[in-house]
Amino acid sequence: MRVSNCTEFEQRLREAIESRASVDEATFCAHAADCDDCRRQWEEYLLLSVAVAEWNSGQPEIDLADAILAQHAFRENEEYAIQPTSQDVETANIATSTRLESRPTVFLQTAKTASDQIHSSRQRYSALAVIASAALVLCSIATLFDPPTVQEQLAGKMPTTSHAVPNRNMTDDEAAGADVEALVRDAGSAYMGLARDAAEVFTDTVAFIPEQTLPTADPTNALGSNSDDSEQSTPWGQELEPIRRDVGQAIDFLFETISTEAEPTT
Amino acid sequence: MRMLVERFQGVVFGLCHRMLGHREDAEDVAQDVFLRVFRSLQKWDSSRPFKPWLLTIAANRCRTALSKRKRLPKPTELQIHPSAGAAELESLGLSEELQLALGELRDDYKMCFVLFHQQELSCAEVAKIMQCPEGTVKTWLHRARRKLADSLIRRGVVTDAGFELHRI
Repeated sequence: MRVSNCTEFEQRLREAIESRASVDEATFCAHAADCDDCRRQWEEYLLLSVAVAEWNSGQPEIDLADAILAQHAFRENEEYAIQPTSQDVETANIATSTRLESRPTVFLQTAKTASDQIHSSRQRYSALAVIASAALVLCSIATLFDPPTVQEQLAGKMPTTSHAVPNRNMTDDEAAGADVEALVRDAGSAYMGLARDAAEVFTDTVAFIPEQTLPTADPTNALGSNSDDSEQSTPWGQELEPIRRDVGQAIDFLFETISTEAEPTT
Repeated sequence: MRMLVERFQGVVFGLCHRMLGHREDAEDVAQDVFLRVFRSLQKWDSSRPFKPWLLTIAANRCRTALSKRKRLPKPTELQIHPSAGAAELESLGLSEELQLALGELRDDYKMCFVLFHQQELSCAEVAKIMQCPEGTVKTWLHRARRKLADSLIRRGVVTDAGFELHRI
């Protein structure tokens, strides 16, 4: 097939190069004889065809297998030759023991390793820091709750009377009456104790006063006695007699009153 | 591993040798390629062909080696000045001339040319290895061929080649 123009010549030559297809030399040479540019392209094509063929034929022989395998082995040994750390050795020993020994033995070895590691200074300081942090948190939690006041503590220790709590089955009027009755009973008991204490005090006081300090007749001074001297020697019991009478009446009144109010309870 | 190396060492070393143009450098890079393949063999998707994956690693290592070489001073013993005498040029064959011309190309063009012509991969496979569109690979391939031909013609190879062309 004849090549009609330079564009077709160039296109067909490129396709032949890219596909490595054989070319119709007569067709290309016929067009190249009439066109300088196409002739130059055709000569370049022929030149490179010869050069590449010779270029490919001069491939040197090579045997790299031994060198490559030796270098590969050397690099692998280099990687394995790196000395592991002590921790790596322990870990490797434990890892080996997991395959060979029983679980309790492995656990003991693991615990021993862990305890050895804890004794390092850094971990010791870390443990102290954790403990201090825990204590701080506990104090903070404790301060969140208000401590009970003194009144609340005393109130908590004060004995409570069983009758102070009204029965839930009672009506409101009955409950109010029970409260008043309980209050009167408490007041009566308090008055009773107070009256007894007061009575004992006054009894002791009266017993302490000399019972009779009245003046006795002096035989030596019967005839010629001085009336002024007799007036100066007034007895102590006589002067305290009105007070003793008033206090006795008050005590009697208190006894009578309390006994009448406290009778229902007793 | 030995079977893997023996089977693919020619492919890897050929690519490295054509890319680097130096045998000892190519051997070093080829060894590095296989060592990296051993290290990352678990990342290889077994549902895909092994050779493109291997050549991708080799291409990347060659690029790295070339970028490192650019930072170093060029060896003077391998340089051939364009104004060299005819006797010196005659001592080099067409293959060596092509290799010298290849060394003057951009790395992308060089990689594309080597993968296509030396490894005999298709443009689509080259595109996957170089991680670029297939159209870009075709463009680079034709530009590389054009530059190589210009370089060979400029160095006087075209006279002999022209004689051969007339015979073809």
